Amino acid sequence: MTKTVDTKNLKVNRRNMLRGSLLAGAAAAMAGTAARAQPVMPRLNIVRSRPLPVHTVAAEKTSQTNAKPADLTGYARVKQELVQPPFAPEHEQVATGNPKIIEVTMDIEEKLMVVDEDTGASIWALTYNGSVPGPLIIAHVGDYVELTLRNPASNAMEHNIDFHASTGALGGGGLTHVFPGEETVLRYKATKPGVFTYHCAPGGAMIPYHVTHGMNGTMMVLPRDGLKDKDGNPLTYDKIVYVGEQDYYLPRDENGEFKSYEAAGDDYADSVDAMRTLVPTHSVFNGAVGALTGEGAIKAKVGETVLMIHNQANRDTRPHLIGGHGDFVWETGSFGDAPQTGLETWFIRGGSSGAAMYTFKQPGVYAYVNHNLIEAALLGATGHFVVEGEWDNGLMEQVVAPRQIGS
Amino acid sequence: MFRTLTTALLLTTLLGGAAMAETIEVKMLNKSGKETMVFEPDFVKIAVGDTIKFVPEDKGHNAESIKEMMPEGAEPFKGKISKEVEVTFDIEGVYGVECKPHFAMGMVMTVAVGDVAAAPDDFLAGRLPPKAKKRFEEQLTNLNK
Repeated sequence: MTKTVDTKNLKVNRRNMLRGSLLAGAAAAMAGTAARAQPVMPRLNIVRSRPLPVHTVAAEKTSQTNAKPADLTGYARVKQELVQPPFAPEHEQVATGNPKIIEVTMDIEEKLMVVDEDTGASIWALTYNGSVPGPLIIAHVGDYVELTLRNPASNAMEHNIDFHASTGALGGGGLTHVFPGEETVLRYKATKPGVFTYHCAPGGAMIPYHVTHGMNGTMMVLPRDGLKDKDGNPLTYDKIVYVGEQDYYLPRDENGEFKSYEAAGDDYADSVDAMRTLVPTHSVFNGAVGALTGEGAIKAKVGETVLMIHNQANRDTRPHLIGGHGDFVWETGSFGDAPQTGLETWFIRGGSSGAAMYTFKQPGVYAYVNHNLIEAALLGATGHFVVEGEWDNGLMEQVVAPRQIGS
Repeated sequence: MFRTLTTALLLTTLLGGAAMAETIEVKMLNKSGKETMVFEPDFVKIAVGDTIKFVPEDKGHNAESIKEMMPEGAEPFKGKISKEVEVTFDIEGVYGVECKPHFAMGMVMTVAVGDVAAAPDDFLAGRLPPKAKKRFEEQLTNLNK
């Protein structure tokens, strides 16, 4: 069987690049070219638009079948009921008892979501449990997470999940591909303390497509003895606020209006073009413009300590709490490192989660933003904390209300 | 000089062969009647050496071979998204073809090359999306017609 456009030599090249031996690949490609005595130029064009070689690892399953079974003696099983963001599931900050097997279930839902009510921009979102971001999962170091991932027959697409908190098989991505109507169960050990991104990664251009359609979230792995400051003193929080920042690349029509589609997946070709610009049309907290404002604003009290978890699976961001600080910040998300203290703004690398702890000292409305303020004000990356309590004039006071100069 | 001659000879042979064989066009569509995400036609019977031209009438589709759904010795192929691709089938047998982004939505087709009366027993043995499997089963009933 032959193709009109022969890419055989390039395939050799690509495979070798995957193995990391670029030189061998180049040599193979050159040898192939010489033997065929054909011009090189036409083939060079092919390389550019070729999808990235990030694909399903089919070999994972085979290598697993001969492996020793995991020793699960002594592990108690507990179910964790996942809840919608910005809330966190019930959990202990300091673990009691031995490591456990934590059972969680996620149902994948493809659903039409309004991104911005003002413009009517919408997206057929791809979601874990119906929310953008997906639910927060919490475990302690040494625990197992046992996930049942369900892809109902009502969905159109293939999905899977890659946990940055896990080890092997593309973060579980290689073992969790589910077609509509299928479910799978994955168990992995939480070995590293921290907050970690998880996301869908079905292969090739489908990876960014799914991630920028909402399919990502955070897995938090607490140290068994809880969070600590740099001197080892325990740090506890009163509540968790879980923020997922989502960059959307929504296709527009020839008039610049956002396009709408009949079903999930219909926007695939347009979305790939929009993603190639690398310029998001929206960057929002928890699925939509304004989702964490008004009715959705986060409520807190003066004296309350809040752990703010911020996930961005795809793109760099820089959370800032206007009028407050990060008392303790795990910018990279690793609880294995001492937290930084007293930060104004912290940096979350695309493809990671970070955490910042703050004890509110003044009442009022705080804006929590991506401090690229263009993204905060124009693309949607703003949320609100509404804090109740007594004003402290010792910290700030309006000495003179605005008045005419010189009066 | 020798190289030029060899190339010329090779080209002549290839073109000569292609001229006698047929090229069949298959459309890749978002919708056809009640069905969404389809190859049209989704079953073709061709002679050894014939070519199929896969045409993306709608954007976002490609055509590629499916591992273990082709006769032994046949080479896999993979068209680019939203790009036309021509594939010449030189080995007799039954081939499964998928559109990668819409595989889970059942966008598959069957190509029967040469004088084949039935697909191998394990043709549908691999892991297939339920909708793709159903469409393959329907397509395979055309083999004996």
